[in-house]
Amino acid sequence: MIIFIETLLLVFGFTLISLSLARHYGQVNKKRKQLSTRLLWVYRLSGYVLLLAGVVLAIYVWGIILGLVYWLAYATLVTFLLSLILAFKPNYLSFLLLFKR
Amino acid sequence: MKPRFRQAMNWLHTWVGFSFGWLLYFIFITGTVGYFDSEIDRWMKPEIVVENHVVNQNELLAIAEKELQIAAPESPQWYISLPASRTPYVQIQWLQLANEKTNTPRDWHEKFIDIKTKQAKDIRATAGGETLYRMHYNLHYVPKLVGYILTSLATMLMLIALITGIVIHKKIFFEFFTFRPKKGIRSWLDIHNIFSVLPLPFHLMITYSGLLLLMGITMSSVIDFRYGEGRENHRNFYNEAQLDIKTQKFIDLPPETLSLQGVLNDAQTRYKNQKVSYIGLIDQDSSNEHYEIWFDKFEGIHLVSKVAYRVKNDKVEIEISTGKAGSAAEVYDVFEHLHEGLFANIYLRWLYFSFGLLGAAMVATGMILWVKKRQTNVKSQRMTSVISIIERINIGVLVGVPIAIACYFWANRLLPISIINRPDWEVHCFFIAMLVSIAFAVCRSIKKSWSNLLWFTAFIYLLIPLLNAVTTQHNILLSLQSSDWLMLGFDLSMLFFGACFALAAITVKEIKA
Repeated sequence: MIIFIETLLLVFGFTLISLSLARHYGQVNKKRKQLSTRLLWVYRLSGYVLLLAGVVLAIYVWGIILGLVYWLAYATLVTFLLSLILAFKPNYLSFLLLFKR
Repeated sequence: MKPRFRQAMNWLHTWVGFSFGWLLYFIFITGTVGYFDSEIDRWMKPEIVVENHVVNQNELLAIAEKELQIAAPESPQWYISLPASRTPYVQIQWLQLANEKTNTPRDWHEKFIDIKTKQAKDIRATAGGETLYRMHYNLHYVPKLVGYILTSLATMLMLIALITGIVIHKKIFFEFFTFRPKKGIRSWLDIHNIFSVLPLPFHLMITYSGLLLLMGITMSSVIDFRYGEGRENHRNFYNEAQLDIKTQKFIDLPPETLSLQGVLNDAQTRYKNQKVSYIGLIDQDSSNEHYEIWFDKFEGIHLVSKVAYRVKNDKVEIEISTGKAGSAAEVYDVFEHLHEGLFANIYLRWLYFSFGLLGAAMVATGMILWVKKRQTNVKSQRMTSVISIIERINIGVLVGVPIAIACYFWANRLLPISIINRPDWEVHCFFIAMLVSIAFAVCRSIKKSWSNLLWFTAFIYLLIPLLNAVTTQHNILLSLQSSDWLMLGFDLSMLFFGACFALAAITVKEIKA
């Protein structure tokens, strides 16, 4: 259960951060290429907040060393899959745009 | 940042990476495979019957003790391993001292106990998963010290390559997730970045801890200075540096009941939430006779070590090791455990494994990039042919190492059981296969050798489950029925890797077309 929450935090955290980058925002949102500065910071900050929450949760549950090991391991997995989605199927992430408009 | 500085770092990254690229690739792959050394061992010893049910430990120990009495009455060290999740079977191991009369060297021997027939059975002589894993730091054929120095040097250069890589990557955050396919050299650079940046925590950890693990070799002159030269003096250093905190106490167990069973029962009641992985009987019938209990469940990153039982002044004394005395040794321990990943459960173990492969992929794409960049601005005819040779050898190495591993598995099944030095021959097959694939890549045209070798790799990996079914009594269905998860997992993994290589072969064809 905790690993599920942890994964969710990582997936949403990194996806939001990726959307705050102009290139990936353009890939996901085909209609509006330009990302407003305000939206950029909403994405970026909320992403970082989720990641931070993930780190805190992991350390709280597994202790400092194992917590970091688990968090970094899952972060690597999530970012790797995310980069593949962004390269080949960016429209999978478009639901986040509606959600955040 | 000054452009000059970045240029210098770029140069360093390129040539440091290139000079040890093939060795690093070999180290990454064989080391990564080592995360599954027990699982590979089980596959390479098909005679073993797994035991998934709870066994009657007293009966089991009685059988094991009887068999050890028969096999090695004079051995100073007996070990009996109990079923655990990564080794779900019972094994007995003993140390055979060197005997000059019969000309046998000092060596460890092992047999496995079949619980159903209540007998010890021989296991085929095999190099097993351990030899494969050890290759990543002893390089097998060279003398040990040379192997350590070479791998240590490679690790040092790897660390330099990682750090210079971070320095020269201009947009590490902006291109964090970026992969642009089908754009030639741009795509290669993107994928090299993805393989390097995303698992960077793993790469830094594995490289730095790898460097630490061999520090006794690389920093030996420091030890020489304080403790003196030579193996004996160095042993003093290790004993002092790695000193365990030990606490002794007397327990009210009657000394005459001190036996394998008695010790195991006592340890299990004393440490209820830890699982015993093996029991040792050391220096039997001497003044130093004692029993050892080793625990299996690694709660956290600090391995819980052992408990020793001995008779002292007609009382039973237990000695518990609870961590290292020095804080430097504790740090070293954490890095060692992070490197070896022994604490990892099956999920984390697979993650470790995939990150190791990403590391290998990082080196591989780096080598391919080196070739591609040089091809775009060649100056002379001579350079063209030199680069072409390097490109060919590169293909041979990159595909050759996976081929070699598959051949190692094939050799385990196909070499005659009675052949002398069978474990050595398995390893010879490994390196012969690698040399043959390099030779093949050098002779064949570059366009074709990628696809030929990849298809061949896919083929031999896909056939491994079939080979297993034909040469032993194990096959995928039977493993499923008898809940032999390690055997099943190995066969399925081989099918998976075979499929991956087939996919790679198809992709290569598309890129060329």
